[in-house]
Amino acid sequence: MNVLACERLSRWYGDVIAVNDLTVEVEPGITGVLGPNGAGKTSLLRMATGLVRPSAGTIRVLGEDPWDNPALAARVGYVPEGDAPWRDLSGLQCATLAARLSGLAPGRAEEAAREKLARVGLSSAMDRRVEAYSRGMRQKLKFALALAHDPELLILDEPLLGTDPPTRRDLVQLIKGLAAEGKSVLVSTHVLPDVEAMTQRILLVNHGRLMAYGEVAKIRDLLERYPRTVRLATPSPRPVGAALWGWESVLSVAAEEGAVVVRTRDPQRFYEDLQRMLLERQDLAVMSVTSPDETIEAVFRYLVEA
Amino acid sequence: MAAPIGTLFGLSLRGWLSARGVWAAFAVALVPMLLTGSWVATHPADVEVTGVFADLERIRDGDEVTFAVQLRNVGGVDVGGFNVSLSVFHALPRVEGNRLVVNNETGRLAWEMSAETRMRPSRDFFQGERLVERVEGLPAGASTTVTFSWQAKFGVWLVLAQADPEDAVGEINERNNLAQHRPPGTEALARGEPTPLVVPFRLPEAGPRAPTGLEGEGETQANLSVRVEFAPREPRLFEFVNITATVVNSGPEPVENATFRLRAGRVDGGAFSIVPPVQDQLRTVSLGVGNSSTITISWQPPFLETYWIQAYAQPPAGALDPSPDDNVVAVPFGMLMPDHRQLVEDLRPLLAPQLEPPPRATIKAFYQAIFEFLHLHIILPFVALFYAAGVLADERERGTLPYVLTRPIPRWLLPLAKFAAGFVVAATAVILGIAAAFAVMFGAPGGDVGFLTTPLLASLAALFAYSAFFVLLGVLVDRPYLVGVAFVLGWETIAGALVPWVSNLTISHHVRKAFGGWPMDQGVQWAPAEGEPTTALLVVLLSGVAFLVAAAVAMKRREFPA
Repeated sequence: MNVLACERLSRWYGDVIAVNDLTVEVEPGITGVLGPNGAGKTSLLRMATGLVRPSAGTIRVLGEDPWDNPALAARVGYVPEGDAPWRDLSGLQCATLAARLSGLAPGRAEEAAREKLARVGLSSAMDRRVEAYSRGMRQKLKFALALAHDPELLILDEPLLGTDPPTRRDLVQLIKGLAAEGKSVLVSTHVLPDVEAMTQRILLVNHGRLMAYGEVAKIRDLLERYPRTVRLATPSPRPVGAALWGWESVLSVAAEEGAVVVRTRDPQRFYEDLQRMLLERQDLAVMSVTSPDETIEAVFRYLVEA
Repeated sequence: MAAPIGTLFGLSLRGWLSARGVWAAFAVALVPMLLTGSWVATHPADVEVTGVFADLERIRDGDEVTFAVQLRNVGGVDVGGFNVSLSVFHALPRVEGNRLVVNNETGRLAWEMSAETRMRPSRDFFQGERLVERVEGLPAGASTTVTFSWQAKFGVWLVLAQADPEDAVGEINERNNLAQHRPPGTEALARGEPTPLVVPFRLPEAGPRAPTGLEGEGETQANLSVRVEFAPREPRLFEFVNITATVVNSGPEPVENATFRLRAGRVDGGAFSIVPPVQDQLRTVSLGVGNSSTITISWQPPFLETYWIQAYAQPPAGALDPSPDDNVVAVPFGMLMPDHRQLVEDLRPLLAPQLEPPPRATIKAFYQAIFEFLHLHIILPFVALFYAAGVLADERERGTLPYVLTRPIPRWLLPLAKFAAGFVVAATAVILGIAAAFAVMFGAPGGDVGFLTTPLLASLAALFAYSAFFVLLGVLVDRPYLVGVAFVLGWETIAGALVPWVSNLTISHHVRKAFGGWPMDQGVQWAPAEGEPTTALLVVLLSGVAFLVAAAVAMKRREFPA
């Protein structure tokens, strides 16, 4: 069963579209929800946890509608963005409370809390108040809270944000360990290497749209192998098209009304050649140069380089 | 997996107890009532009218009567100057058919006006008198007597003395400021029952003119003499008066065909009035020597009036009575009111409401006013707002909301658990405030358990409705505190006071209606005579339930984008 299934899913807040017509089916295992800040990752995860409802389309988590669904909530653990809650409590009290809120009996709740705190490496600090925890410890505590009721699916919103390298390593190991136990994980981040440390499968979003879903390597490979489309707006498409014909960097040329559409394997070289040609040929006018494919590439490059 | 109601409640409770400003909210709920109670407890002034006595035992029309009003300061502190009034007002009875009727409305107005110093009712309207004397201070435990002179007039009067009618002294008990004069023989009547002072007529001196020619003329001697007897001597209204006139021939010779007449009725200007119709029996009698003849009338005089009985005998033609003075007798009698007890029975349903003292500002009423206008109107809504409106806003501010909402808990349960926790904390603060006020007042004179039960129940009912409303507000809007303040001040207080139809839609209106019918110093009666307080209480409680249901339903649809 897919852990997440979205069908033409959209969510907007007033005039702002956070998730736009997104259709995807996410398989079990670890999936990185990747995208720059403001891409719509958090909105997608909030819909998956039932904190907000879709404006249009549907979302299913483990096959169920997540809105006001306590039965599903019992199968899902959520690590939200932001700081740990109940900071005036000790780590143990905090985790016990989370377990109690998840419906565990008092004795069983404390037992589960101790177990999960040990799992995230907070055994020795479990009696300290949360407000005395370091940033990394609080992130770990959030994991313990999400794990308190042994969920099948963990939804993690930027869980590594602001953590130091040792904590990051611990949490990555924890996530991988959970996946090894058969749990599914949806983890959002805007840092590709973070995802690559955990999984090869990513769900790439930008401006609320699904840009890619699959293995990181395949996406990278596809981006490299896939010819880029460049659209040149010109009042004289035929002469411009004729001038471009036969260039080494150009795969194909098609003339449209008011534009020439070029497919190229080497956009860098194509732009250099184009600039040179326009300087030499004063009779050819090109009003604008756009590439619909550049967005995904730029996003990916940004994420990889971040 | 069962919904963790207890944990959610505990979490909410903990949240409220650790909230910023919780002690300030506690203090707001506690201190004003405690201070008010303390003030009331330390100001136990109380003047009592211990009795009203007349110097005459049998008061008749025209008598100059001196009423002595005895006062005692039964409170714990000295009191300054105050007035004492003596109201004597006519119960205005009249006879209709066979029934005594009291003009109750006029009596009631007269009583109310007698207590209202700013009004000067016309004497035509207020058939009575209101006499005022001043007492220049009365130390704690001291007594004094104030005297009033009144010229008694025929009729049925209620005589009421009242201490401090202008309410110059803030007292803990105003109910003992009133006492009525009790005519002798009526002491056994229960306190508070109307005890009329019946002033009978003074018997008139001028009666009907005697007929002329009673001495006769002739040679035969006819020595006639007339006497009249009637019973009862002081007839009461509705009673029959049995009148017997007797004529005796004391002369040496028989008398043939003498005139013998008996009349009874009202006399006006020396002549019998035709209203009511005069009772008149005229006979011609023949009397042997030493013989007598009688005329008997049984008559029911219809008015509370004085009447005359006149009987005379006139010798026949040709006969001379040497001593004609005893040929005519005229005796007056006045009607008395029916028996006191019977009168009280007749008057009770009509006059009893008049004997309740008009509502006045006692110190306890001051407590009641503080309770109603400050506590019920301002403090309580704000305490409820503090605890209930933050049902979600505070969780959002602390960043704990996603941790609660993503747990296997039905959404509708969250506002209810928050409500329950907020209500428990707010109710604790309110109960402490009222209980503390009651604790300091209880030892004071006039301490009454009603000062605990009524405010407590009124507060809890109001708190329930207000908290439920603010929980709903907290679910519906992102800035519930701002909207809540606007609601309390704008809607409940200002619009509720100025716009009549808004008033019916305010919580405070129905709370006041519910508990206004149950005065504090009488405690809460769970079976009030009128249905209105119960209905109003139901409105308060049911609207609270409706707000909670609405909050639960709204929560099922509420989103939390960030």
